[in-house]
Amino acid sequence: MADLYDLGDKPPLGEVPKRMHAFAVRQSRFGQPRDAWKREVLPTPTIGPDEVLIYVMASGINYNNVWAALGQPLDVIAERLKMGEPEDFHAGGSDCSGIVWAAGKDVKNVKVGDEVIVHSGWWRPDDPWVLSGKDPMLAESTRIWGYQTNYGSYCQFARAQGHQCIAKPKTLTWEAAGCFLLCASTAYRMLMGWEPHTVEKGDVVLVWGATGGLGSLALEIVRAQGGRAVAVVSDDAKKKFCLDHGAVGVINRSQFDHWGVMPDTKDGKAYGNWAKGARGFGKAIWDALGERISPRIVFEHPGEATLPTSEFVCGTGGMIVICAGTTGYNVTLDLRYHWMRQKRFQGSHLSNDQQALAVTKLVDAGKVDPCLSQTYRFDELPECHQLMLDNKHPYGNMAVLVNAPKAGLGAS
Amino acid sequence: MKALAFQEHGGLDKLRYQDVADPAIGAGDVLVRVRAVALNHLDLFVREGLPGLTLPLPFWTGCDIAGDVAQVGAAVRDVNVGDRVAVNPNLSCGRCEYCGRGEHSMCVKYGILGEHTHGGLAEYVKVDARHVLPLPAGIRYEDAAAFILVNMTAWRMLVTQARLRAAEDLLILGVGGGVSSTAVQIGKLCGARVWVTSSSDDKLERARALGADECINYVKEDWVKVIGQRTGRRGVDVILENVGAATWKGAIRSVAKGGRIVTCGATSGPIAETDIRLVFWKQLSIIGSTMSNDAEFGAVMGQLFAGRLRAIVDTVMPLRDGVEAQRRLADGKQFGKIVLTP
Repeated sequence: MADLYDLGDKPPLGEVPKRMHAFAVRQSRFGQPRDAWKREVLPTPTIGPDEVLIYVMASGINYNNVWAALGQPLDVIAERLKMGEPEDFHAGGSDCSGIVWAAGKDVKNVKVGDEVIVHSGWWRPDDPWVLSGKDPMLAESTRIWGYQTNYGSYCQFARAQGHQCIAKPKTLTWEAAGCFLLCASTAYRMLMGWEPHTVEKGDVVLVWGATGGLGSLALEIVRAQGGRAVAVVSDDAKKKFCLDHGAVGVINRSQFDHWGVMPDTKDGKAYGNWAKGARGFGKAIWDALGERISPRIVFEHPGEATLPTSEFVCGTGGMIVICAGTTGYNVTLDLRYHWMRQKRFQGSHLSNDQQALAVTKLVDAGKVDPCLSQTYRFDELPECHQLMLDNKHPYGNMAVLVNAPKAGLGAS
Repeated sequence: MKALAFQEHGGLDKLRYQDVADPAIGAGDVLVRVRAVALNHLDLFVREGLPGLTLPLPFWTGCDIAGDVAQVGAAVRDVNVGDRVAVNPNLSCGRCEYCGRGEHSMCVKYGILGEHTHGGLAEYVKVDARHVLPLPAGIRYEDAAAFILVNMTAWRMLVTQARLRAAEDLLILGVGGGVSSTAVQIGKLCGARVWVTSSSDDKLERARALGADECINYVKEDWVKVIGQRTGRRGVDVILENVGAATWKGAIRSVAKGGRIVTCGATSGPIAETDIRLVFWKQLSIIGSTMSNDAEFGAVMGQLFAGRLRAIVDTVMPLRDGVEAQRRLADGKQFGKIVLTP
């Protein structure tokens, strides 16, 4: 057996070469993604008893590895060095399809040769919280796989925990199967994980940033659950995409200008203008629906720019659920809307095994489209992150081929 | 009859103990002879005037009421003259989707007796017959009146909204207020370890007498730091928050992963600066809550009647001294409820 195989060349099943191809970031290269991500040959990682090694066929691209490239807001390499891990590089990637190539002795749910996709919830198997049967996403040891952990899906052989593996939906190509799960499982937990505010038949859900990976999957999941998604976009050209992926109506937010931090309520004029904008936006939701119903769930991820409006337009007893703050983190909440209308503001982060499996089943059943936008070559991986940082990426989820020799393979 | 009324909105000087017309009841109403009425901040806010709230003047507030049924409407069947009763202050339409779900305090036309209609700071008050609850013989009017609104509110916040469970840590910010002080005993009833903060050692002592486990004087100590230290940097599971702007950042920092912050008001201002990274990393639930539905009203009154919760009475004064009583409330001198007797 050779020491190193070209991408797409398969070693004998179950045999692991000493070295592998991967894209990695180093602290000396922190900065623009197109320069920070470099292709390297790295030692193939060894696995623990609860871990598997995945021969990666295709990988998804996620925003967390734009942050990893920038070294901000978190230097993931420094964090891991501090915790005693030896590697001074970050070989990331949080979404993939592939084949289990090696499995630790405690791994029961998959075996060598299985075709799988990998969700990105990682936690210590001996974490007392996890052992007690509680939601592992609230455990102290929880990390984002391929962001806060090393040897993710941008490696020829990725290292993951057994529980992260889910059988690959058979009808999907490698790239379609590998591109969606981080966004889909995050969106699924947001929409279905926070009782009693789960999407029920007929519920109105406002979805911000609806053409992104997260937003597009939110539209798909809302439709699959019988809800009515109203999509928010920044450009009329994006409307058709949203309607194709399940939205019942679309609002172009560039027609409003009240975004950002809510003005001081004592500043009558500025606050009045803000309130006028927020009310107008609320009316745009009703217009999009064709009836006066306010959203039961607001699906948030822009944060600073949009949250005060989300708080305002959310229906009585409804929930604003948030997983990120892509426009900033400092939000002014007007608590009066919150308590008088008994609203809920809920933070949400990735998903647990059950939620990742549930959304994969929806994909497998053809009820949720993985929203694959475009498939790129492995060497285009840095550029994919750059497109994302520059907000020029195509609608939906990007994929890069890793060991898959060309697009269109892997479906049966 | 006599009432503690105002002819125009404004300060305490607008309040007069004066003669007003007796209320006239409809077929589905009862007239209650008020025996005790407790004050709330709502009485002060309404007297000062709330935006969008137009009231028939003269107006008198008062939403925490216990008394005797003095007269019943023609269509009322199961309430009798002479019944001792407590009044559920919810005003809901009974027809909207929220009422249909039993969520009366989310009603599209929700109001509070004494805020939107003439209240109990008077000798008599008109009440929908469905909203009087018989008082068991051993329950005093003063205790019943003092108990109602703050316990409806705190019960919904802790039991329904935050789903507080045994052995969890509950933090109550600013324990002097009516909702906050009774939340101590509800927290204990749920089996929680109860933390309280106050600027007054005296109020902390009274909270301790109600069962508070950990008392922090926030003038003498940095409460955020103390909670971090004493919980091993974990934080608390549930925060009952009605201070608002002044404590909000600290609350977001002091709540554990997966924790819940329940808010029902903001005595220091409603604009809350929030670092949303903490919200999504810790997967927090920040829940707004107001009053309670009718079922929760029944449930919490049952706790009073069973002796598992008690009314926290600061002072009892005659209604004619209502100006003085409202001043005491406005100054924040009280611990628990100020009750007036007409």
